[in-house]
Amino acid sequence: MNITLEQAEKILKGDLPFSLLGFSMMIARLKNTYAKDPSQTTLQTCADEMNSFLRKFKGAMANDYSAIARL
Amino acid sequence: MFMTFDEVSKKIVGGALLHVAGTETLLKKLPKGSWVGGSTEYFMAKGGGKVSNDCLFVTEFPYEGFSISSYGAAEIENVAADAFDNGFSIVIVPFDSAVHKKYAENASGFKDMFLKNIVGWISGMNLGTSGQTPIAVDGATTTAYADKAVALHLKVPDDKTVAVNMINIFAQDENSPVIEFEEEGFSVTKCLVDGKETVLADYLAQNGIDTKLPLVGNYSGHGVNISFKSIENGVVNFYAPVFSGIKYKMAKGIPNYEKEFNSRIEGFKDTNAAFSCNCVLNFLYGELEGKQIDAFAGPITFGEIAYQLVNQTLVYVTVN
Repeated sequence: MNITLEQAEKILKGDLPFSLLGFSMMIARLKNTYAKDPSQTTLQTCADEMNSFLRKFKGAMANDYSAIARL
Repeated sequence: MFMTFDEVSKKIVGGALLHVAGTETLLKKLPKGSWVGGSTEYFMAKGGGKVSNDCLFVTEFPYEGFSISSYGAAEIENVAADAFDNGFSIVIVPFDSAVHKKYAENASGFKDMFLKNIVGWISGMNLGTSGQTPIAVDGATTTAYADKAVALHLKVPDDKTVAVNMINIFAQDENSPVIEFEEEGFSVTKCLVDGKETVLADYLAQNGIDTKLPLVGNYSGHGVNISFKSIENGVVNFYAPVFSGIKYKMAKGIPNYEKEFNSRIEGFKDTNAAFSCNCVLNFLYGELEGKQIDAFAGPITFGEIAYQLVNQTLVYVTVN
């Protein structure tokens, strides 16, 4: 499981809901960060953070990742 | 479990690893041991909501790996980094302290915050009794802090999975306009109502908004509540900070708190929570004293922590 830069950008610009509370809260912070500085560097940082979460909680993230994979 | 002071003391002396909630006076008299504590006189116990200044609510943990740390406002940013990789941490923060403000406004940006399992609560006092101080206690040294948070970091076995969850009986009212904030924090004057700059206090008054209902922020599918504390001279004060970039709406009204609570909790009746806490505003506005909420016994708190500070919410942890 890996979130690409393209998928990360769609998450940050979209309204996709997630079932895992921690991921949802993290995405809220990342959206704010990216809105303030929509650069490639920030996008990469946000994608890295999403992927760190995904690696750690891959079991619990299975359903949410299915939705992300369709982006 | 609701216990007497002597029962809790015996458990501590016997070496049990505990989270204890009770009055400032009782917490300060407990012996040294493997425990953390926070002040409240409100509890959700088996049999219903209780207000008590002579009993303590105790949660015992079966884990061997743990640490207890205290954090002032300058150190609280390390709380998640200090947590075990596979475990969870219970953070107790004294109400209205500098560390409360620091945590509330910045927690989502703390290192590792969402890579660890962080829960906790804001300690308080009896709202009808003057002269009490919200405290957090490090039981290893029996130091009671009014200005520091205390965290119990717990390590669970590698074959166990921890999950942080919350039950929020409120949802965004689909008829509410979108309310957004450019100024962040516990107190605001202006906001954007459907994009139009508005004085929030005026909007609330002109629209007859019931401020017992919270604002509900949309966090990618999860509603996160911000409760109203007071309105003074045109400034609206909250029990948790509002943030820019979050789309808030007023909560949909609830005709019967107790019924709604039990209805929502019905689906979780087989949940075996390792720890839970619930909000004092739910307790007061829902008039829950003496009323049975079937699951999720624990302290009634002055703000709940599910990674970041939330309001009017039940927070719980499962270990499976």
